[in-house]
This record gives sequence, structure tokens and C-alpha cells, in this order.
Amino acid sequence: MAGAGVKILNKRIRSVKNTQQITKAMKMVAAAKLQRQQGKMLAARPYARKLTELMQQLASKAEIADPLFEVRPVQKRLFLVITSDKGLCGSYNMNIIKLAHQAVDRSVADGVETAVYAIGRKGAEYFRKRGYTVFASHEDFGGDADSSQGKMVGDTAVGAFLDGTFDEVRVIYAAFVSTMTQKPVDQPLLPIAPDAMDGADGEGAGQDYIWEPSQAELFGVLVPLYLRNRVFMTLSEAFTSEHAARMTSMSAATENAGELIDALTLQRNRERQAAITSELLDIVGGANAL
Amino acid sequence: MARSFKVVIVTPDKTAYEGEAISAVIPGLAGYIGIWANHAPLVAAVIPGVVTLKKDDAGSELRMAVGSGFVEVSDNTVNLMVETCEVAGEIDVDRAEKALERARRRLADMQEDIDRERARLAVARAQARLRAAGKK
Repeated sequence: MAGAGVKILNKRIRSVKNTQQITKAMKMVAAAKLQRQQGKMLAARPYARKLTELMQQLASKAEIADPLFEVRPVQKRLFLVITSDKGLCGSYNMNIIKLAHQAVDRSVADGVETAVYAIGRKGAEYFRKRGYTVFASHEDFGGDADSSQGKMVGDTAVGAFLDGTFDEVRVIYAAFVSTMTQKPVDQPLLPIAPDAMDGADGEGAGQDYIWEPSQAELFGVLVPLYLRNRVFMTLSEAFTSEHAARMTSMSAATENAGELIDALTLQRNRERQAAITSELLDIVGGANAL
Repeated sequence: MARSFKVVIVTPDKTAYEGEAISAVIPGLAGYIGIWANHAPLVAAVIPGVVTLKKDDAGSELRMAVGSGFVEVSDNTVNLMVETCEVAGEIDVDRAEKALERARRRLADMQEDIDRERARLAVARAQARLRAAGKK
């Protein structure tokens, strides 16, 4: 009987509708989180910019003798890879992991001892499963950056750099271009490259400042602060990208579910019509036989 | 000559304050620093304490508890980069008192000096908050 096909289709339509409701809710949650994280990121920028400016001015004046600027021959390299803890955010994690995997393999091929410092469960699991050295991991940041995370991660990286565990630290994360676009990038973190301090216009660099205490002492306090802030800003941007990616992919999923529902509904109606027609033909045929 | 100058206070979370003042007192590493309009360019380390801004000659003041950081003065602009900044009216005195109590106890209990610096900073921060709120 043709009625059975209609029943199955009805069931499928209901199930797709349920899925659509879930993806819609996730999209809205991601949108709210994106807005909050983006607001936080923008609010944090003036501080980061000021700190960078100050850093530039000091670096141009003081003799740079800070160990965090020291360039050593690279024998051991650490990659800080920032991914998300949870999935359902489209190709977000895959894109980052792909770039990270290539970078790590290239590093290993160069004969450099390489380890991964994973932020986010996805990245940690990926590299652990494939037998790479995972130096440390954080899997509970939950896509919400705060300055204590910046301090924790920054201090861990600095500690490992200073005691010679690693000669270079790089960071791989998704830079936030726009809500629709997130671009995985690979940037140096340690040693601090003087030209990495971009984003400041160097205004006032010619000023003759009174320094209190001395430039060297100020520098000693400023450098760790700058680095923590830089890690924090990176996390903040990465998490903004994550929420944007999730919002976009859930939005697409909701749309796809809508299209699927339309297609299934059309098919159901057609089958129902076919069933009615064949029943009518039966009746008409039966009546004629009499 | 300008009599007032611009003050901008930024913290890692936000721009905490932006406005004009005719004088500012800032807790520097080597003691409080007083700033008037047309101050010479200066960069100084800031320790947890109270920032006092005088808004006008009538003596209306704004007091804020700040954490450690830096101050940069140039072109009649005071840029404060600090870890925290709380305006006097927003300070929860009860919480600050409890935090002070807790930090003092930690400082007293401590044998190892790993976290001493942190506890000492916490004490300084709590005291600054209370002073800014006018309770001590």
C-alpha cells in the first residue's frame, strides 16, 4: 500500500524539524557568545595597544638585554595550538589542525625536536592520538578568554623558554577576519621579535621621557606583562573566531534542514496524491465492472 | 596654556575611565606622583594604590583604586595602564575588607616565599580599595 511511504516520510520530516530546532538554538547561543567575546576583544584593544606602544618606545631606547628577546639556534620548538573544546563549528578546528600538523611535520623534518602545547580539546586529542609530544594542554577554557588564562599560558611558555626546554615558541590559531572568515595563522611568540610589536604607530617615540624607575627596571616589569597580554589577546581573538565559525556553520545547518524539509514535504505530498489517485482508479474500475 | 589635561585609564578588560582633570595623584613605585597640566613627558611604574583626580577648582574629586601597571604622560595626556581600576562609588567595602583579612592571614601563615609576593600584592590591593572608598 502506498500509504506506508507517506507515513515514513512524515516521520522523517518530524525528525529533521527537531534537528533544525536544535541547530537554530545553537546558532543563537553562538551568536550571543560571539557578540560578548567580540565586545570583550574590542574593549581589550586600547590596553594592548598602549602596552605595545610603551614597549616599542622602551625597546627603541633601552639596551635590549632581556632574555626573552634572545635568539638561540632552534633545537627544540613548541607550537601553541588553539582550537575549540567542542565540535559543531564547521571546518574551524580542521583548518587550524591542518596548518599545525604541516608546521609540526616540517619542523620535525628539519631535525628539530617539536612539541605541541594544545589549548582546546580538539587539538589536544588530535595530536595525542597521533603520537606527537603534547607538552601541556588546557581543555577547560570553554571559549571564554580572561586575563588569568593569558597569565597561565603566557607564564608556562615563558618558563619553558627561559629554562631552555624550548628555543622557540610559535602560536597557531584562527585570526578573526570577519564573522564569515577566520584565517588560520602561524605566528612567532618567543623570542620576542622587535618587529613583532606591530599595531602601534610609534607616535611619541621621539619624546624625551623621564623614566621612573630606570629604563632597564621598567623593561623588566613590562616584558612579562606585555607577553601575558599578547597571549590573552590571541586567546580572545581565537575564541571570537570559534564562536563566529560555530554561528556560521549552525546557520548553514539550519538552512540545509529547511531545504530538506521542503524537499521531503514535496515528495510526501506527491506520494499522498499518487495514493489517492490509485485508490480512485480502483474504485472507478470496480464500479465499471459492475 | 591649558589648565586641564586628559586622563585615560585602560585595563585589560576595558577602558575604565576617560575624562579631563586639573590634577592627578598616582601611586608610583617610588612614591606618589603629582601631575598638573603641561607635565614633562614621563613613564613610571604604578603600584596598587589610590589614584586621585581633581576635576575643578571647587575641589570635586574622583578617587579610584588601581592595580599595578604603568603611567605614561605626554602632550597633556595621562595614560594609565593598570591591571584593575575601580571607582570609589563602585567598591564593595565588605568584600574588600574580607579580601584584606584573607590576604593578611595568608601572609601570616606563609613559610615559603613562593606566594608571598602575591599575598603582599593582594594586601596592597585590598588596602587601596578601602582607602579609595574612604574607609581607612
